[in-house]
Amino acid sequence: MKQLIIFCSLAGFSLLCFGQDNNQLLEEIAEQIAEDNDEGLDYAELYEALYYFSENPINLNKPTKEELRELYFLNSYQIDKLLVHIERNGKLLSYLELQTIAGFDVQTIQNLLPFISIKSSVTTQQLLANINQYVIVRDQFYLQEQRGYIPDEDENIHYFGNAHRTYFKYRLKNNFLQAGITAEKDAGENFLGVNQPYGFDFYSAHVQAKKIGKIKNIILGDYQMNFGQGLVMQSGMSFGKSSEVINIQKSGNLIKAHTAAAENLFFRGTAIQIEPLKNLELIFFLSSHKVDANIVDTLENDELAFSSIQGTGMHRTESELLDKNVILQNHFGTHVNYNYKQLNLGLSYYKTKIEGEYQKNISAYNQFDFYGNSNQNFEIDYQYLYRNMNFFGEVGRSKNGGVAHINGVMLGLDKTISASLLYRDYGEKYQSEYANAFGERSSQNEKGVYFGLEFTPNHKFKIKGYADNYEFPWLRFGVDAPTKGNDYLLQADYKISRAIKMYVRYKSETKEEELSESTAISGKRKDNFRFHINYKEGDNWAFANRFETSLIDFDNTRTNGYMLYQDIKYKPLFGKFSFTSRYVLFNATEYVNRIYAYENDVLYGYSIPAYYGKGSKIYLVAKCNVIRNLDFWLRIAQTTYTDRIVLKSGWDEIDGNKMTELKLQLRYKF
Amino acid sequence: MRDLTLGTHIFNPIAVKLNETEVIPAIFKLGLRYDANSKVSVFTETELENGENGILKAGLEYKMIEQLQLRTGFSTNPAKNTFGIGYSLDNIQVDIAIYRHQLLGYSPQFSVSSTF
Repeated sequence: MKQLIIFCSLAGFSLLCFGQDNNQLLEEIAEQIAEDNDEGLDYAELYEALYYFSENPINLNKPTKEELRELYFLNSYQIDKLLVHIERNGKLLSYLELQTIAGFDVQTIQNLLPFISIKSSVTTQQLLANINQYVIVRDQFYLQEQRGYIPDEDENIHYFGNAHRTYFKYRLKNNFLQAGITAEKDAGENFLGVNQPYGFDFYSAHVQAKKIGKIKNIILGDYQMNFGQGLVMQSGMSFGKSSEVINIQKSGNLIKAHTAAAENLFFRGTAIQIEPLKNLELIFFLSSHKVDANIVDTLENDELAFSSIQGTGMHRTESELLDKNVILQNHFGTHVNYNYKQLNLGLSYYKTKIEGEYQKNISAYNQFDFYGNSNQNFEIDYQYLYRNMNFFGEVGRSKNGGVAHINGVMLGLDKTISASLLYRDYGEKYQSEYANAFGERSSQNEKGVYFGLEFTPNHKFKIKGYADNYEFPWLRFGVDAPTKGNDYLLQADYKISRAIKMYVRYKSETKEEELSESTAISGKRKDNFRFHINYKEGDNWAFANRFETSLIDFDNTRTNGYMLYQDIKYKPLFGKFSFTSRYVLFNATEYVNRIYAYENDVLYGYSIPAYYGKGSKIYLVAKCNVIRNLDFWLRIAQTTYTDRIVLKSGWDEIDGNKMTELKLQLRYKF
Repeated sequence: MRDLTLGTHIFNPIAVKLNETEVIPAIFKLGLRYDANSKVSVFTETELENGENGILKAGLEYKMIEQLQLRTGFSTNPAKNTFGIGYSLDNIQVDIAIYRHQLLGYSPQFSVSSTF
């Protein structure tokens, strides 16, 4: 039977191409994920995982759920189907067998190939000995002077430090052990001055051990956690609504090291994941972590009252330094996970204790938000794979009685048709600091139904779309009434050949907002249309073009934005030097018409700027393999505006219509 | 087995008048049905009523077993989500459906039909 299946798929179409350069493919995958999700995610985590697995492929005949989950493009349905397939049919004999597994389309398999192997001859000793270490040093700054660094009449300089953002990272990793240090100084922060006796402004470190007997995972230091569908705990990166229309389930049940330089929303302490019985997993965690906060008062017991927690991580001036690490947050909790055949049940509880008093400025819209000094969250989550249907959901409750729930299903109905359906209802009273579940905004005060459909008639062509209808039953910031909205996406992908791929995307969102002159509510419609094409020329050259428009219709006013770009990439299969370059022209006078696009960056770096105003930008990212283990990156990006003579704002202001950013990075592997 | 069906429905193309001032609108519907296999069908339809905004509809039917059909879909203008279950018994078809309107909430529907 197995032979027959393999033969059939061979006859169907051959998709495997092993000759392709891994790095190039990696970048394409990362770009693809970033394309789908554009705005404001921290992609450092994603790069980290992808690069590690490309050098240390996952053994597909002995994969763990955790490893597969770290490949962000696989969804739970695919992971479960793969594991079930291996359990039922034994070891995979060929990569081609993947095609016979439900949910694995050609694109997914192609994406997966660089990160997997089916060899089973690797011994534990070999895995242990295979240690990867690297050091990265990065520096970035603007060539133009900014207002905060220029002395005023009294020779005072606003920012304490220089204009360089400097970043350092050390990493050690093998299959069982991981350790790392990240250090960062933001632009304007002092390095080794009176204000920064320890040198860098921010340090993060961790030591992690995996798969030691019944201990599946133990971390000491900074870490991230994701449970269930993210109603109570989703501190790491997660994807929401995107052009991956079917993949709406969060994979959950994960603790991992915090490796990025983001200075907020992580845990500091220890977390342990044990498996006392087969099918039963327990996670315990304990964290004590000082955060930045805006202090408003000192209470009788000498504790501080604060009005907000600050997440920027900027400590460049006296007042910013005053707010640094002033409030101690303690978290502890547990997560239990039980697995029976295709059913997975989870349960978690955590408690937050703040040394200080959260005193928000209360108005009608935020009266249900968290205040005080302690909170508790509880959740139950499930996942059940029945034939070609993957059901999932979660119910969460916070100490104040607020309740939120989410339920969904992903359907792999046919080779050509997949669908997903999701209903969420997050109460206006529901509170969780680390919630990041599927939805339009924070996991509070939202109800909605999402329906996604994907049609793949053959391996060249794909049409997908979603419709998301949601309501905010309570008021929200800036809108003094219950409101609703609709979000639609339609995308057609066409792959002419291996070298030429393109897609068109139409996205339309109508959301009720308050008019500027009155408190009346009106639908604000935002339409985006995009055409994108990638094409390769020979083995070394690749090109891309994009055209995107943004049209806003609100309060009887229509505004629009345009963007066009050209990418040129030179990546020889064998060569020490490669580069990527883009020229982009944009015209989006209003900020609402800003257009987001992923930009290439130095390794582990990422940038997704919003193009707005009138102007152009050009960048060049060059990589050079100096000696065997030493790589050097240079990125220079210059933006020129035609509609303004002052750029940026406040103390970051640049006098002139040009800004040029330079980034330099060195990596040494050993 | 894979099958594509197209259908159009034009209602009142000659603009019949009720009286001097009231015109019965013309309605044009264009639909596409795709049968992926004997169990799965996808439906899309666009509807335009003379003088109104266009409506887009999409739906999905899945036969879990031959007798039992599960359905879901949505339509725009106004935004609605629909869910339904159908059961076939010899020559009797029973359908239960519910649709969700963002302001009006849920409206259930029920139908029994018989073929002879």
